[in-house]
Amino acid sequence: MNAENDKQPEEIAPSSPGNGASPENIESSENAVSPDNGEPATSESKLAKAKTEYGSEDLQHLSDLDHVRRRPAMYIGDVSTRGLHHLVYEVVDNSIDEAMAGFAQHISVMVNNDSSVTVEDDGRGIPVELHQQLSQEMGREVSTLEGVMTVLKFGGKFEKGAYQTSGGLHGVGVTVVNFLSQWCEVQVCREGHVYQQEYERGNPTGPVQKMGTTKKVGTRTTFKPDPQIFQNTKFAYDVLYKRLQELAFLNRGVRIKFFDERISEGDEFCYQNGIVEFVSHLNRASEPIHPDVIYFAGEAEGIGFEVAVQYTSEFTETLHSYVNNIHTIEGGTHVSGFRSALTRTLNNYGRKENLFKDLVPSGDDFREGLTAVISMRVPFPQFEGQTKTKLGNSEVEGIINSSVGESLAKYLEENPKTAKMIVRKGVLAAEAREAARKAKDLLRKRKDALSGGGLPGKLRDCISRDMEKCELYLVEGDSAGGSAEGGRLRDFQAILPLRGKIINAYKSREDKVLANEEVQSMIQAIGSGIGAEQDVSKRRYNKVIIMTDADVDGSHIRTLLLCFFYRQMYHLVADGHVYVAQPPLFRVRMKKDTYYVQTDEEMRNQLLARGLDNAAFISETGMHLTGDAMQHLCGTLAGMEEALVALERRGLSLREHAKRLDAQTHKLPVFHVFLGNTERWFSSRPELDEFLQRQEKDSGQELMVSDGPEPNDKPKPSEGDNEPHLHITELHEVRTINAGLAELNAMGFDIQSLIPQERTGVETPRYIFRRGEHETPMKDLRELLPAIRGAGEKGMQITRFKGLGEMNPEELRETTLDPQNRTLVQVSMRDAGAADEMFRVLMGDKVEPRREFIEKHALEVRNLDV
Amino acid sequence: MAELKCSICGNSFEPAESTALPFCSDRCRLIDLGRWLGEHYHVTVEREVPEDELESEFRD
Repeated sequence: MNAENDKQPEEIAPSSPGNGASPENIESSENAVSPDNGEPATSESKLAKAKTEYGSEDLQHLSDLDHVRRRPAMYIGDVSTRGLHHLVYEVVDNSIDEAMAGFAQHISVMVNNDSSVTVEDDGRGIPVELHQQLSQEMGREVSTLEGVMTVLKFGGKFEKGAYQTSGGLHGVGVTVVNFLSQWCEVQVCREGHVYQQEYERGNPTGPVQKMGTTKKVGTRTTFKPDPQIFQNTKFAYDVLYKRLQELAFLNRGVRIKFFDERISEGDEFCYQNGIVEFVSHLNRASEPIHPDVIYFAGEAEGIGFEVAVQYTSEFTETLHSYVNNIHTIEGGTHVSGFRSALTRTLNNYGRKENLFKDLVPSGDDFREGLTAVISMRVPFPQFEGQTKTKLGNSEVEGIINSSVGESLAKYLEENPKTAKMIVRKGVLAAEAREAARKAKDLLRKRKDALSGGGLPGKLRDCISRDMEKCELYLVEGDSAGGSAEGGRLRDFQAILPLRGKIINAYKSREDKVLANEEVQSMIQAIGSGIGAEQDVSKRRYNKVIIMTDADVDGSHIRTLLLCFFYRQMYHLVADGHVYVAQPPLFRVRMKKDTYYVQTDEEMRNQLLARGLDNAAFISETGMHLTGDAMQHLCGTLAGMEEALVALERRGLSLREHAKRLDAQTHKLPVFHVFLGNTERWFSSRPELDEFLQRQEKDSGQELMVSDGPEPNDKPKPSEGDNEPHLHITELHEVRTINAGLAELNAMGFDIQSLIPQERTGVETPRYIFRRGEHETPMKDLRELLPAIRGAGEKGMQITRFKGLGEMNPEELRETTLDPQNRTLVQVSMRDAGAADEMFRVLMGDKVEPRREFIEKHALEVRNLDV
Repeated sequence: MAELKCSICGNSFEPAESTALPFCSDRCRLIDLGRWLGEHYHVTVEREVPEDELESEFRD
């Protein structure tokens, strides 16, 4: 071979005798493919002719070319679009290897106007010198470059093991590309010179030529796929774009320039963070649930792996796996190893951190919203499956399983916030699965119920079938159901008794739920369906009326019911079919009259009004109030009544708090501030802000505001760090008290008038309430209202209903059921939303303390058992 | 209408874009239904020591 000759390019003989690329050779090979149908079909006679003409030493070479062209699918998968594009990837792969080995920085891929493709890199360039072994085998001078282009399984990569990826698709390299091209040209810049060789359908049109001097290095390959082999030889921009970008992601730092001359479009890809950026790219249109992409890499037993993971709020899984840059679409042992590591590790973490209530997520649950890229380097990959894109190496599964498991466990420990987000997402997925099952069950039961009579056994239905007139009372309470049944207007009022089910009961509290059967009964009775199957027009009643006791229990059940309707029967609420009954709280009997009072406030006001009749207030200082003046005093005191109780509920007595009264403004402080170990009080927001600013200035750092509960009187010494924690409590009720105090001041009373005084040796009462002839002595002003109400109560017989059950059927009908007298409150979307909001608070805030409580008690019980 | 916050997944969403109000999606609504049927939703009734003087004066 004369490639090393120091001659001008034009002087190099295009061919020399005995060269394998003689015109005859090309001729025979070209004719071997029948041109009309594009099917590679070699005529046996032509082959035989070639053999005899070129001697037995050429047999292997001819067979390679012939075999590739006759059975291209064995080398590139198929001869459809996929196989066509595969040609480009084969050439690009060589450049990427060169780049990953650190010899090339830039790779350029260009689709030319004639649909040929040029791939160029600035690597070392394919060696061009004479190849001894090959020359001997062939009996002529053969350049290494020619060997690379025309001899199958010839190349440097066999030595490198880890990069040899012959899986029936890859590794056959540029030789196959050359064999399947109508023409191909390769140019090598190396050691200061340009070398070039051209081929037609795999055969060199001449020896390697030395073209001149250059400072560049690298390899440039241009080829045009053979239309005799491929059904379609048009490259698709998007397909190439996607794969080249993918290769840039998989091979961090490699710069790939892509340009399509046909449409003058292109792009450049280079990703310093590799598959981490790949995952971010895949998630570009989704909402990640944790900020950082989780990344691990490692190597074990010669197998290298990289994994990048991020969860999004989506429900689908996006997993891309690669082995030696090959997209393993059918997955395989690396993917199954990764999946089982993910499931096991997340479940272990969730268990350890107590994040599972009763459902433990399955592998599928942790696949929801998962975006993952797995990139493997496997020295001897075995590919299986329909498209040979499934990794079969069994050893890979265990390696990935344990390596990823270990790395992930460590990551979760170090990033608890992200860990909890991910586990929570899996729990939700598990719940959705479970919920779907339950909903299916429910639907089946409903159908069974409908075919067999349909309505819940507890329902006392009305007689009328005129839906527009019918009403359903949901009645909560032990005996209320009975009273309601007796008192209802049967013609159009139906009763469904409900009871809150107690699931946990402790000394100081209990947890109540709406039992499953109750929920089902309501759904059946109302008839308009739930969730996605709501149809308000199918409702059996025009009004659904919630009737619960006026106590704390009742209000909680009402909250549960409203929340259920709002969430699962949204349209029923939106269309205004849900109401809340207003049973009275008091029955008042006076002489022969009986009447009902709805609220505490109303009752108090009535008693006050009656008690003030013919009443006077006298103080020891000689103050004497009657009529309007006295009413004014009572109004002021009434306005303060609740606020004072609220203050005392905090454990602050008025007597104590009065000591903090500002002497000038006569106001009590509203803000209670703990800063580290210091306790401070402030009456207004500006004062507080000024203090905080001063503190921040003095300490030179921002104050840490701690959210937990208020420290119990004595602030805890800060643990570990010296940074003082700031805790601010705003006593809202004090604002009301201050307003009242101002009014009292105007009437001549100071704050001490509200507090009993030490009065040793004094005979006369401090204050007196006089009504008619009757006098009541008082120690402070707070006794005045109860005294007046007590007087007002005279002659009245007041019954406070502790529950609906305390009313007899007639009373219940008269006050709450009969449309003539009853008060119904229509539930608006805002009310229902408020119930939902309240519900969130009721549920949310107490989860942690509740768990602690249960854990603590479970421990005690265990100790008792021993 | 202002953005709503889904009670199940916690994501904010435009009410006009949801067909599963008051949730962001059918799936979240389904999870909620599962919780009702599974009796996961409960309220805690605190029992206080009776101390309400205001009430006592109304009693017989």
